[in-house]
Amino acid sequence: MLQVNGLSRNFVDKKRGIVKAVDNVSFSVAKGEIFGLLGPNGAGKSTTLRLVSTMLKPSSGTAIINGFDIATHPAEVRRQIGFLTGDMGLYARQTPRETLMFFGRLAEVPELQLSQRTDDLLRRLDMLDFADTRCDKLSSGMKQKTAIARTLIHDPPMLILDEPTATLDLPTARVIEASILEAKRAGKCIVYSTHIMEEAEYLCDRIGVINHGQLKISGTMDELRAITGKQRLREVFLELLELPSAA
Amino acid sequence: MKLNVILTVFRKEILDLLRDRRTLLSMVVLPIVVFPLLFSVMGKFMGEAGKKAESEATTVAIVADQIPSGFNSAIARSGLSIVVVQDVASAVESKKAATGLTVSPDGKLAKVYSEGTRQSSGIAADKLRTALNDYRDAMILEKLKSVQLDASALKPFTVKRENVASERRMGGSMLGSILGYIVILLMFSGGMYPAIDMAAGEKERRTLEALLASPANRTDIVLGKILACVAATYSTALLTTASLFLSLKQGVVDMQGAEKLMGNVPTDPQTMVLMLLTLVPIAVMAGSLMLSIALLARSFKEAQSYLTPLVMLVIFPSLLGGLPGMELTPTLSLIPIFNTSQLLKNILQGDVPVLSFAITNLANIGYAVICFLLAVRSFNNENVLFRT
Repeated sequence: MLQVNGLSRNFVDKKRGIVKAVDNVSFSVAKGEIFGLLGPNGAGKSTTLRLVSTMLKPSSGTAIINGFDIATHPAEVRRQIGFLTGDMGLYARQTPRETLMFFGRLAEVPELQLSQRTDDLLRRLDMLDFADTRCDKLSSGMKQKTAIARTLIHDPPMLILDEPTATLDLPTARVIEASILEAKRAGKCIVYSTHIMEEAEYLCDRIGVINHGQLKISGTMDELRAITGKQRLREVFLELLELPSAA
Repeated sequence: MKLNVILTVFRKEILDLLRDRRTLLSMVVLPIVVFPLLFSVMGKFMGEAGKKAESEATTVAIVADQIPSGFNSAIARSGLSIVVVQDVASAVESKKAATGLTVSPDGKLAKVYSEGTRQSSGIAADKLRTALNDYRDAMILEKLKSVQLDASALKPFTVKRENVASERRMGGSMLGSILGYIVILLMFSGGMYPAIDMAAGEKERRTLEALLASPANRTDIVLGKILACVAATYSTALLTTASLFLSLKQGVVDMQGAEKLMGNVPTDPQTMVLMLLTLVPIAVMAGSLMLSIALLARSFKEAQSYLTPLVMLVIFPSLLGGLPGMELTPTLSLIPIFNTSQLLKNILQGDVPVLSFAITNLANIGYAVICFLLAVRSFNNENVLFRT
């Protein structure tokens, strides 16, 4: 479903010169699988996900999503993806329903299908009570539901979630986690970045640890334990951050 | 390029703008009320100041027993009432009297005093001078008669100045000089908030990523935004122009003394159409330019601090274009903003220099295209979008 091959991205910084934000990262994720991208702040998680979702262009390497290459078919790639971050905002003067219709139209979902899917999402996420209230009047939980619904409106086979719970309180974070597990059951391919180890351990089938732009290692929890000889993810994580280069 | 995507973005942005009180204020309310307000305040002040001056221009200061008796009848004819003082000049200066009169002992020099900054003093002095002139003319006639000469001997011919500018041109000249820069200024300020809202606002509210992650093409998204921003800018121009013409039509009736300022204002459809056509490329230019600049900013505040100086900058060439005596030559037609305020003036005067009209609009279309492409490019530049 998702195949990332040697993806790299350099930035030019005035003080530091060329910075390798993402350095030769490769991994793959299958349908119905949750892949966790674990790393400290500034490790290159967000940049990797932005590269995969074609918001940024790679310096070298590529990624193929559902058969579409990010370099040659960016629009098709984006159609395969639902993208969500924890600090994403909503248009304050639009209602959740209008937001869903707007993003559905951007994805060129046929009108009839779009209104059906909007109603369906509003019902499934229990949003009917506030579907026609302007977003600036909503609570943070309601906003988060709206953001999730927006991510799902074009029914993408793949979800890219960049620290989706980072700024949320526990109950709201639970809403997100529940939606992620439901999406997994529906057979979606999910990439999930976080710096919280417990979250990764709880949600993800496989985990990749990233630091200084390099993917240090990836595998299931059991594989990670076997390689590092540590039991808890916290220890595995700290151990891996010490590793000199990609495994 | 997908038209339905562009229109989706356009409609959403317009809806967003119409729901924003801040934008509505600068885009709709201000252009509509500014002229009626300006004219009614101006009219009221001009009318009242005139009335007040008229009612105060009633007194003339003299020193007792210094005025030959013939002059007294002249004063009486002027309608001014006499105030007897010690010192005429200081009496006029200290507002004890509107004007003053002294006559030299030999009766050869009559001095009329006025205080130049007071309208009432000027009016009174004029009345007095006219009365004294009449008195002098009467004396001359008297003397001529006594030597049996005809009065025409003194005036072999008369000189009269004739203003060949049509009334429309006079009105247009006054009107054009203010209209040019007020319309352009309001256009920029009307498009400013929409531009900030749909560019820097996306970053500040953290909605940009979701938009960029949508399957829509970036060029389509920015085209929708440019279109919305230009529509906002142009509708400000439309409202400003409409409000101006309407309040002028109304104002001339309501305002005393305003006829002189406004003249016979051309409000025929042809003039309006020419004006509105001229404003189209400027709206495209203003909308796209402000959007490109607002895209650079990370927040509302930052965008505001970039765009406010731009609006100020726009005032200079348009003010310059409004100065009397400025002519729109083909070379000057290449200067953006200046050329437009100048052309607006010409259009309102009813004679449009064809060559300058063509050059101005072609040049403006060129600038509009450049700004348009700049906005499209900025939106496709990840350094601009993800500036940190």
